[in-house]
Amino acid sequence: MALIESAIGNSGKVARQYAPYVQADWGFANHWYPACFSDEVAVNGVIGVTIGGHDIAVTRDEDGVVHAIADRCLHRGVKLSAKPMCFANKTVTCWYHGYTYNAENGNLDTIVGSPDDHLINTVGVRTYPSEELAGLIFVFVGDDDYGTPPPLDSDLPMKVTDKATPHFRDEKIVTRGIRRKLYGNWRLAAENGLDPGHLLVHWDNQIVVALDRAMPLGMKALKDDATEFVDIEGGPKGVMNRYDLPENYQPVFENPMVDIKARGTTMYEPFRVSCWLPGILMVENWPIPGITQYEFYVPIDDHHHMYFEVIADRASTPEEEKEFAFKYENFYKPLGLLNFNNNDIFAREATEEHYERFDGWNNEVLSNMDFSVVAWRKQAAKHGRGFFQSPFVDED
Amino acid sequence: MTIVEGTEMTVPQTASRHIALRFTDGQVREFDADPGETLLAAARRAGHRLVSQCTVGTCGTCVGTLVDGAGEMPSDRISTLSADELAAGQRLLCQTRALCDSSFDLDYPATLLEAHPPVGFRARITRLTWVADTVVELELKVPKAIKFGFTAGQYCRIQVPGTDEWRSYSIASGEHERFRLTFLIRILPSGVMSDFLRDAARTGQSLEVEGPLGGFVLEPAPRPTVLIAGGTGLAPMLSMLDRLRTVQPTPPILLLFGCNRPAELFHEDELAARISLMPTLEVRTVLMDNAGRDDLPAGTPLSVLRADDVAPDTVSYLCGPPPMIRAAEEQLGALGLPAHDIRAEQFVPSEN
Repeated sequence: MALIESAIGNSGKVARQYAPYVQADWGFANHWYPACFSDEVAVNGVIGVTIGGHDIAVTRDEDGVVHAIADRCLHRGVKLSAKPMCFANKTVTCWYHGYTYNAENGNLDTIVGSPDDHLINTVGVRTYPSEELAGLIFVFVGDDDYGTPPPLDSDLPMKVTDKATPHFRDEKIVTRGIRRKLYGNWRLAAENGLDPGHLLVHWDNQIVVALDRAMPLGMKALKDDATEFVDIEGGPKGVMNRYDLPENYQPVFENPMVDIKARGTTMYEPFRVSCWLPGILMVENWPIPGITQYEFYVPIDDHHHMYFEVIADRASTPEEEKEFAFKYENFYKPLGLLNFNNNDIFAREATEEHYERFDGWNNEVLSNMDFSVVAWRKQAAKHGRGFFQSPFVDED
Repeated sequence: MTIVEGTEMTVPQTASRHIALRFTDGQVREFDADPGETLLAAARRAGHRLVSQCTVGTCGTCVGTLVDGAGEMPSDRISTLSADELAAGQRLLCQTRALCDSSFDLDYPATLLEAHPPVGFRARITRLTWVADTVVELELKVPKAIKFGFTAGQYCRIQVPGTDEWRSYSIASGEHERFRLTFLIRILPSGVMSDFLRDAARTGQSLEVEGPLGGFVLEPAPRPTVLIAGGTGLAPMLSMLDRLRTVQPTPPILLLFGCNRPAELFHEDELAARISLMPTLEVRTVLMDNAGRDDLPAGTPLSVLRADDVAPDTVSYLCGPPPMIRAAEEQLGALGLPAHDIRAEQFVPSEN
């Protein structure tokens, strides 16, 4: 069955081809998600995050190891992270009544003002597997009984070898970035990032003008497999827009009908774009050649996501690190992560109403340019490991 | 202070105690408890779920009233029960150990223990699609205020508007979609629900619904699974496939689906989509009369069941007309499946 060709249009039949994706309004459960940046969690510090409805407290013990436990005290349900307290190594104490949890296994080790209480060592909070990599803290979030989590690498973009752009698993990798809580469903963010048709949003952006960059108005897919399905056994699953292959995509630089032309004269190495489960964008050679920009769209609930914007480079010496830090603060961040990406955010927020309140997932009119968005939906539908559900008792 | 209610008696120290719990709806659950075991733990061990929360004696949710026998709570810690309440026989079952055969009253109905107690509600028709000459796919929106949940395989009763007639249909949508239920309904030449759906049903209209009902439920496990569906018997299978998709590791799944003739065949695209999403799913579609569709074999779903489709640990779910169920049970049994691994829901045609 020719899935891709028939996937353009507007019908329930089309949505059926990626039905699990349509259901994933709270995100796909049982995946690794970034919780925060490494430098946000000091030794004996506590950071609270919400991923797919799970409130999680991330802490760092005196050996520098990070731990993730449920960010809800058993006693009366306040968030542990609301007022971080770590009195003893590898513990988190609730600031309200002193319930003190073991950071490694969640056990209630003591209660500060009631050390003989019978509850001690009989109850505990849930823990989440966590790992730190390349300046980010990742947490495996999902069903309590899921079993051994798959490796973190299965939920990271693959390490490309043909262009060898910076990757989290590289030695000498340096990353910097920001995260912000945004209004809008995580899928709208992921699709916007991948979408070859949305370049018009960036037509007048500062970074494009400043670099005199020849940014196309659109990318026309020339072949059915212009978007590659990547399915690595036990590894990353995603789709990749092969903008780098001229036989796959034809950039559109002008449309005389509306008298518009792409600005800029500098032709760069194409910024190849790929999207990975559970919701990660990898843009190679962006904002400039030799740099990789990663974006994580981490579901918080069905109407909010945490937007991680990460710039990755390699640096072998302190001087190179300093240079990267300087460029990050004065170029990548203000022009790329803020100015340029703010236009993407504006677009996602504008689509939220249609998709969430008017059932846009079953009610949209896609065109040829949405080819890779549909490919992503299928890949996500096929490889999502489960669904997050609303934890709220009075709404959904 | 040790609290022992009941008459003086010689308490055996080793024998297990027979416990009876009586619910407000008159249902009684009986099980044995070991001497040192709390009644909540003993009930759980016996497979009875009871209302409880903290399990450590502080929330008071699992309170029951001793009506016969003797039950002791630890004396060395503070209880949420007052001396008066204890004297009146109240006990926290998560803390109580029985000293002899005992019975307790609980202040809630046994149905509360079911994973998804049935509820009644009005649901709006959000979609009504003819997917074949004789099959309608009905989508209903459950109001968000309704606490509705179900296990794949269960069904709902739907009232035909303007009548006292109710009809039962398996839920075809997945457990995850709690607020949007779909049903696959066979339209008969005449019949109250068929007439209503054919002639009167409109999007936006509201229907009385009751559910979820039924014990034909999927037990998600990574076991090879054979699903056999006749006609709209496909409905619970679709719901089950939705759930099986997230079972780790995903088991091999075989779906055998049969319809009468090409004009009555439906959801070919749906099944093709499922195959593309589920690498371990195999579907064999058959038609009783395949004239015009010679790409599909002629026969019943069972005619395409092969001996090597069934492994020793296979579990099977059947849904369709009674003759198909009977034949399938026979055939699967002959292939070595024990009766408890052959689970069936059969269509019972209505009188009108």
